[in-house]
Amino acid sequence: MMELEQLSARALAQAIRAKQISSAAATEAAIGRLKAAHELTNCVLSLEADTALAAAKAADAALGAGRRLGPLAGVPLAHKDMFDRCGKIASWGARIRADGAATEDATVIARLRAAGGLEIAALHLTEFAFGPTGHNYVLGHARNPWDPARITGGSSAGTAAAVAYGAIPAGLGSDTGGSLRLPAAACGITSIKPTWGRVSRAGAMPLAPSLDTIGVIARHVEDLALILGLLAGADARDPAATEVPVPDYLARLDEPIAGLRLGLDAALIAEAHPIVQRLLEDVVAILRKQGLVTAACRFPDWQTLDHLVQLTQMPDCAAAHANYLRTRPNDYGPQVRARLELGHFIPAVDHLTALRARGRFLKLTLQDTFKDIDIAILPVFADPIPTIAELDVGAGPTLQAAMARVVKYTRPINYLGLPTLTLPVPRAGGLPNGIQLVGRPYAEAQLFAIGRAYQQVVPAEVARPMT
Amino acid sequence: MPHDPRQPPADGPAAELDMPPERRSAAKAHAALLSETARRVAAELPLAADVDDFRRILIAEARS
Repeated sequence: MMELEQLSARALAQAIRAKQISSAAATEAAIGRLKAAHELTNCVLSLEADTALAAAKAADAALGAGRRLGPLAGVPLAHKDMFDRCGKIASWGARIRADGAATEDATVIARLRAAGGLEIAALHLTEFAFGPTGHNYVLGHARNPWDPARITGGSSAGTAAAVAYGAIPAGLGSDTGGSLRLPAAACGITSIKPTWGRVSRAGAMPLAPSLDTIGVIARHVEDLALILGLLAGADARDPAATEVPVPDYLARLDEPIAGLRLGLDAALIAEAHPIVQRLLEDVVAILRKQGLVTAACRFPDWQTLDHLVQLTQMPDCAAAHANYLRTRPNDYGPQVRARLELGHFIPAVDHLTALRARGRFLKLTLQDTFKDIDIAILPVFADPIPTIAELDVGAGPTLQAAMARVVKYTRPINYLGLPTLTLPVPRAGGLPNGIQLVGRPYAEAQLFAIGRAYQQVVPAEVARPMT
Repeated sequence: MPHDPRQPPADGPAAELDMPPERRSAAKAHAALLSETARRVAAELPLAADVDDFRRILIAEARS
């Protein structure tokens, strides 16, 4: 009996191609699991069962006719509801939406469809993808599949919850300050936030374009490699999407990792909760056994980076929403409204200073932090995964401090634009959490090779509530 | 939250936004904190520093 919820997208695609299972059967089963996941976690914004099943049957018919299909042919997927899909209006996790249906697919949606991937639902996100916890004061909060009293992390909350539950093997998300990494860590799965500019943002809801990065959440690192390989590359619709050649990430998954130098910024890591530090040490011990060599490193002053990323992000977000914030303020949830307001108080000179300094800080990081290392390891969350109630701060006076603590280790990395792989810590029966491996620009293949080796020791898990 | 008509109209940045005074004060204070960092960073930034430096360095790294 095939355990569908445990299969990677790559393995499921192979099973469909080999006719061990039909796409229709796999999709029907995925829809059933997604309904159960939604009941537990509130991960679905709209279920698209009929169109998904029709597409699955079409994939089966094409395979039956001997047509050559893409590497994800017939595989049920679902994504954060922030991508244009022709004929549909994405929810953006909000009350305010686009005036009309999309006339073109987002580039990432088009590339996944061209590879044969199906869409069975549109998934939950924090309102306008602007929040790191999975709270959504407009559409309802997301709940963690391991413990529904706890946060999923955000903003790609629905994708992480659905993937962790085993409803789908993988899905798309985005990351402006941690939105791929935090939910992957909180739900005990993996994610890739690629180098800024590696993946086109055309047709994706903008939050802060200087920082926005589209990426993938999956249980298996091999799916991150497979899907990033499909998504990455130049796009005439997004001038920021670079023409840097895209490696064959799958072919490089099993590259040797022994001897790679893993950087530890001890002072920075020491600012995390002791439990998080211990979990990170567990991961380091596993990576050492696989041949990685640890070395000390030091990031540029972290608080400076954190302030600079806020100076970059907040006016970017506020500018995108300036009209709606003036004309429809009450259509925003309290937390997003308060965070958007902040951007209006940051002088243009400070915003531009942060943007002008960005190259200098990236250069410093590459020359100094990465001088004697290949990758760095950092926590994702500074603390054990909080409860939904603990972080239910709305627009209250603790908002900035609470959010700053959640994104402490993630937001500054967006300023540097570096690629980051999230891996789950070994749970040993406890709650999930995660670490992030930070690479040099365009080092995604190296990150995947390490993640692949790590998952041979810490296999992917399917989330169920802990008793 | 609707504007309280008993409050005087706000002035300064974002005066047109309907914000309660305590949230306005908190936003000003946070922006001021960030401004201190911006000033410190600007003091060490060469005049030629450019917003496109970031992209140039990313691309250069890919070619190295």
